[in-house]
Amino acid sequence: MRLSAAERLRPTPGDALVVLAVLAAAGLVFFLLLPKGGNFLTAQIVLDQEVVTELPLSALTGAVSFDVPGAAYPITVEAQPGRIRVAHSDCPSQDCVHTGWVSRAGGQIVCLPNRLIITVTGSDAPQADAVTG
Amino acid sequence: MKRLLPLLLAWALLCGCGADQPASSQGPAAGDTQYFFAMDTLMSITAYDGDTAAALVAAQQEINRLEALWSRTRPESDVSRLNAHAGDGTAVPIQPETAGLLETAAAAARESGLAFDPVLAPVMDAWGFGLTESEATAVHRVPGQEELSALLPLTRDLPQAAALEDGSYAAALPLAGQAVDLGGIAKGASAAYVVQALTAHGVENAILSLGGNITALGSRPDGQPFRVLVTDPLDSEESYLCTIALGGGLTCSTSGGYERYFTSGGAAYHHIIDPATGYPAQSGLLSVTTVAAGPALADAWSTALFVLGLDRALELWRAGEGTVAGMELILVTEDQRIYVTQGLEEGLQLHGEEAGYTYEIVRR
Amino acid sequence: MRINVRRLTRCAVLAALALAISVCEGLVPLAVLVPLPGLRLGLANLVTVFALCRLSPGESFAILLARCLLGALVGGNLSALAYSLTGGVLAFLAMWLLLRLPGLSLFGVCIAGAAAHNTGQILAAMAVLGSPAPVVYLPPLLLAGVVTGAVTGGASILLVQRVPWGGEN
Repeated sequence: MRLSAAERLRPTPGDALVVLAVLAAAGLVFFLLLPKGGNFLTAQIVLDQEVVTELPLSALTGAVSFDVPGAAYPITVEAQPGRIRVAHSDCPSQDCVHTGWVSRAGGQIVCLPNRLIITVTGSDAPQADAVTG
Repeated sequence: MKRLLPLLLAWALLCGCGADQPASSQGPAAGDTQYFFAMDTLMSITAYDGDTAAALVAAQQEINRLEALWSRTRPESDVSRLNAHAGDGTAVPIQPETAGLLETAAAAARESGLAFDPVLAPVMDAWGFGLTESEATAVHRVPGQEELSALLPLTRDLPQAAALEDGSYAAALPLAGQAVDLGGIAKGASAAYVVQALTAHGVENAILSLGGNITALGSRPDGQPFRVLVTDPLDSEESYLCTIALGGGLTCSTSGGYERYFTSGGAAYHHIIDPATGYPAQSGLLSVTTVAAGPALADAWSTALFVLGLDRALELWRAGEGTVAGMELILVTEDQRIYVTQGLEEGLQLHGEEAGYTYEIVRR
Repeated sequence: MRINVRRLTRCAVLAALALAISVCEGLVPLAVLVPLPGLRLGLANLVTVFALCRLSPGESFAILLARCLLGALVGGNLSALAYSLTGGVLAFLAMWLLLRLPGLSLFGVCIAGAAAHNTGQILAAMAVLGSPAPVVYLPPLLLAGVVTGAVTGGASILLVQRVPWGGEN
């Protein structure tokens, strides 16, 4: 069986069409994501008023897991692309672990015994200055 | 080099793409924010003008000072000393701030028919919801009916505070075994003192979040009132019921069973105990948000109205007497109906319709 | 069908080659250079293209499957199998289809293959994470696919032209 594509040495106008189609698809997906404001999530981890780290959740390339240095009760934070949780904590209340994954802007994980706050911010949270409740 | 070129090109493309990420231009306006833990909760204060650095330090010191007065777990606090002398006839000297707070608490307690009860501590302790600063180590359990029946008589008589001739104050608890716990009002009450501390450092616009009690000072930098999200009690981590506009000088406070609870034998027991029964309040409400000029009253009444239920809450709001005067409410029922009183209609944005909530504006 | 030792050997050699390439590629993760999950040059796709041009679709597919399975075994990572298999199969289908269209060169075929591969990876990531979040990476990955596809396209033209290949059987 002869495949003409296998014999050509130079790019053809057809190739340009393929490139255009891929670019159009990329543009379309990008455009569809835009109205939500990009959904770019960032998690800020604050221990006893000190910002320990800021994780660009949406830009993570894989799972990240680490112990928060300086925590009174050893606490392990796990982040994956687009979400974050407390995977393990030696704190007595375990509220932080029970909170589970937080994957939306405005979400918050608090470990009171450790004085630890994880705040997820992003551009799809309803705009506001404070939260009650 | 020819092979590297596509790589570099790809990199350039991607970097350009990254820069296209829309900046978050609609978030909260810039200000200086201080986060800290006090009164066993997370607090944050954002100041927009004045000497923000000094103001935030002063504000935090003020909270620490008040916590030292009102804590139940610090043996030297006014509250601890008052509790230690319960029923022995000693008039315990207290600071004017404590006297003022006891008076406010007593007013809310009287007007709510003890739905807000500052001396509920013995019953709260029986459930393991007491002593707030050891909440992390608290052992929750369901107390027996007999145990509760024995404790409930201790939760009826309010502390008697009096101004002495030399201008100082003293207070006493009438019955042995009684205990004051101001946890349901202290966070709100602190806001008034924080506002004073901020104002003294030239801050005219700020927003305080003292454990879910939000107090607005002035307005946003763009001149608009501050916007406050009300948490969805059914998905308290990530969803919201609505956004309200919180005018300068107002405080909003939310109480709901979802905030703290434990499960035992398959049943959930939340932390808002009905002082009439000694059991978690079953009023048909999921949460109550109050908006009031008095931060302590907003805090106390959100608890009281949660206990009282929808009908009684709206009745009190319609009457608008005593400490309820001028208060606005958001009442969320278990069948996902949200009642918003008319004063909050302006600037109200709804977010909970997709989650199945229906909204109703309540008018006088 | 009689098992043809010559054909079997060809497939085995190509599968081994593809595996070696993909392992080597894994040692030099492009993601270090550009922070984009799933970004790779896709050189292992070269073998798929070559096989599609010179062998039967069935053999080519067998080579692809062997590469993905062995790659997961070597890497010891089962979730990687989901990504490489979804991406690999989608790329295979796209290239198999486009090779049969007139008016294209291997440039176009490989670019489409790279784009399909990236789309498959994102779909797999969405399934594994149970969240639509990874779709954010699709547009930049598609753009990268145009570039990496062009690179592998050029390389595959050289390969197909220059690698001597004895007649059938």
